[in-house]
Amino acid sequence: MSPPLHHYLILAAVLFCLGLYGVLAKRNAIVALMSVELMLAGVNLNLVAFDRYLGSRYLGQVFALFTVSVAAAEAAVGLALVIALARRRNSVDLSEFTDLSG
Amino acid sequence: MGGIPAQLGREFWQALAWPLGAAAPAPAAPALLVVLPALAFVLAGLSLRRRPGLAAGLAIAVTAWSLVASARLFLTVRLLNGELVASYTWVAAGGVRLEAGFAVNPLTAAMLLVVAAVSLLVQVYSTAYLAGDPGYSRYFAYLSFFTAAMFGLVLSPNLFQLYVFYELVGLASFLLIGFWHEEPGPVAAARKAFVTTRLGDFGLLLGILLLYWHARTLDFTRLAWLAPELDPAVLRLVALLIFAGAAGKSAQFPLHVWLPDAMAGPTPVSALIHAATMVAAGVFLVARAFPLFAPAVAGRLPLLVVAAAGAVTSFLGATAATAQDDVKRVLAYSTVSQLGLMMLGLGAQSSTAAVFHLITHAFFKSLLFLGAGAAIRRCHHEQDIWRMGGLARPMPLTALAFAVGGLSLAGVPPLSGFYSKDAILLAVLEQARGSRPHAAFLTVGLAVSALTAFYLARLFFLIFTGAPQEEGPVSPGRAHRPGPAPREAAAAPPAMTVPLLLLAVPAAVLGYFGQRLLPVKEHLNQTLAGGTTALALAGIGAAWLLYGRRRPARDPLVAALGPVHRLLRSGYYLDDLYTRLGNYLVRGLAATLHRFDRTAVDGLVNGVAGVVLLSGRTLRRVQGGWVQRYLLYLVAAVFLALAAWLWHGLELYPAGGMGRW
Amino acid sequence: MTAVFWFLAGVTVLAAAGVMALPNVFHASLCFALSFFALAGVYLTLGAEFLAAIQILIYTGAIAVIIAFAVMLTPPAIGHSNLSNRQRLWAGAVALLALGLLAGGLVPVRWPEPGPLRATSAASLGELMLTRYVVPFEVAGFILLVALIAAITVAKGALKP
Repeated sequence: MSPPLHHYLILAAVLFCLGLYGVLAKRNAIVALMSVELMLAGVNLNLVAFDRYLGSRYLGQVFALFTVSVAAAEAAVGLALVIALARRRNSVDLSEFTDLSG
Repeated sequence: MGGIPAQLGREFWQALAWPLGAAAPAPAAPALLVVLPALAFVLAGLSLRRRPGLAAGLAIAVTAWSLVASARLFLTVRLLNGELVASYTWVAAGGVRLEAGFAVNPLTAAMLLVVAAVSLLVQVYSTAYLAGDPGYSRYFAYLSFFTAAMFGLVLSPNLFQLYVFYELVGLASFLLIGFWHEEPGPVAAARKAFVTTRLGDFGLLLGILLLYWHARTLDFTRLAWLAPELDPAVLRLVALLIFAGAAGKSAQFPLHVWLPDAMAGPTPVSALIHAATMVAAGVFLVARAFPLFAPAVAGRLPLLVVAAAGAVTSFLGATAATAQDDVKRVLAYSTVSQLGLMMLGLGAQSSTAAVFHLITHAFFKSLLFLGAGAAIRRCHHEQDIWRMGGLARPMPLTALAFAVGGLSLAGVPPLSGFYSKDAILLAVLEQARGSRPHAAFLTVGLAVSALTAFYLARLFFLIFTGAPQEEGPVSPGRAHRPGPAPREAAAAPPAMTVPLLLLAVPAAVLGYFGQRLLPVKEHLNQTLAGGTTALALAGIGAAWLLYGRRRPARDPLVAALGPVHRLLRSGYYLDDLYTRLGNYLVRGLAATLHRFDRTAVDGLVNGVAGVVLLSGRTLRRVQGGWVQRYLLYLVAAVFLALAAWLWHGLELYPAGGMGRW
Repeated sequence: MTAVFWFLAGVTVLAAAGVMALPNVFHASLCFALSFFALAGVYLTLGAEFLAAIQILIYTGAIAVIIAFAVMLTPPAIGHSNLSNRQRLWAGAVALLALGLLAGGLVPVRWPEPGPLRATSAASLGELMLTRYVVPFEVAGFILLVALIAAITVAKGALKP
């Protein structure tokens, strides 16, 4: 007996919101990046669950695969940026980078 | 499971092999006519910059393929006696649907053949003419770009695609006129050509939009069906606007002023673009959209305007050509005049006659330009005909080819120009019965025939006969132009003479055979033919008396005509007029705007600035540069909006649950 | 099946909470890997074997490893500690609001019942990717290539001061 769809959806929402909190509240850029990945994972779970329950002939899974590849690209570039920041400014604290202030 | 790439690849190879005799039908072949030159453009422009020979070879190979493909398309269409059309939806946004594709019918196939043939010969010729130029690869890249755009224009099945390629062709022309971009003259000429044609193109765009607004389609075939049902008043305006576009590109009065200046580009470019193909695009456009001009659907006015513009242009061009000293300017004004004649043919409701003349003109005018180019090169890039002379002895083949082209253009039977020009005059004659304007147009056409013969004979006598002029100092401004060394200039290389001779063949015989190939229904009218021949011979005779019998030191027309000659020489002072008009309008507008700016705009701006300053001081606290804070605002706003939405009882998801997809 | 789901979901959520809560970033990154590992298990209960395998390969394999690298390459002073900033209360409030809205919107809806659970064959997914979705597939590959080049350029550019 499979669990009903909204169990999956709520799990996805929890992951998304945990990630959201991390993005908004964490000072370490690496943690912020991990949080973004959590948000994307929530979205992905949504896609796969809908794929199974609405019978969309793998459309959701294909979409999820694309999300994974884009997430991988995002992680690579994001971490490269973190390393560049660490070398230049000797810090990865997001609260310190306020050069865009008006 | 082949996949789309494999299928694309297969179709590509099939289409590529198609003109070489493959039996299988290749629906993609016309598309390749655009794709291959475009690829050649990219390759020659980007990767072959240091391999000029390879760039030229690639361009010529692609054009040769295009020629064979065009020939086979021409034969196919003639066998079918119909039209090959392929069209797919390119953009569908709301109610607007734009299509792209190609259409091959006898008209477009003939045009393809002309473009491919002249392009090929001009490219071969250019390998010699531009040998050693530092921009050699760039030149061939531009030529390929032009070929791609021109094919795209000719193949367009609808007005929108045609407009896109119309602009691309204009861009190619701009790039090639300004090819020697280190010098100020070509750059100014390129800009002038671009801006002037843009005036007409703007009209064309308006016409296309208006037409789409009313007809909901831009497809030529469907428009031809639909035209009788549309509002004649709207259609009249559309036809006039389309003609504005054609007038810009085909150098019709009053937008013709750019063409003589466009001769600042390399001579082969003048031959290909500003004599044979691109300038004919306007005539082609009107011929393609001809159902919209029909008197039954749009009234008499549009065609009368076309005919009048053609007649005026033709006369201005022919008279101005008699007073020029620069060989290329003579030929340029001659082109203006002949394009006017084609428009006159269109205005006389005979698009076949106009297109017939377009085709023959493409061959003999490019022949004349290439011949002139050979002579210019022989004289170290001297273009003043009074500094040339006696070139028939050192370059007999060029002189022969030039003579064939000149006699053909002058309308001497049985050469090509005779047939096509007579077809136009005959169409005008038929209209002239019972129409006073057309009677005047016919007179103009006859006068132009005589003048054409006169200025061409003048050109020939001054360049090729008489005593050779001692080589004076090369005029300043051309001295540093990259050209061949004097030693090489001694004789024209085969890469230049062979295209000349090959062009001379169609320039001589195409008229006779063209009558069978093209559906020209008019047959010769004995009186008219005799009259034009007599006029042409009279023109040549007059030129012989003035310039050929004994070479005068100065142009006798200068003394004889006085101020009139100065008027003709300056091209009726239209350039000055436009400059002054432009200055006057722009200055007046600027003064008005200045006053408005000082009072209304500045007041408003200062007031706005005050408000902004104040709010900025308040708001700067919000923008601390801390990205996570921005993100918090953003996310909070999104979810608060969502909450408000739900609060008002709006469902986030369909209430009845989701059905299966 | 439901029990399995609850177990995996619990591990996923707890590990994700660990990413937020653990004071050491290195431990947080281990939790991150664990969370994605468990999420792969959740995918299995949905019959998405191929995606589960990909998930483990990419996240717990590749991304977790480069995150660990990044942790080690960053300066220890703050780089190794997992601190929250001064807007954490607001952030928590917004995240809770979001969760409440999403859950409140999701639960009342009558969702369709699933069909019988069938394993997704990797072959049919692969065929879809190379036929119907070939253009997005190529674009994704291109994006990865660009990201690769960008990552190298950015990280390398930082080396020269």
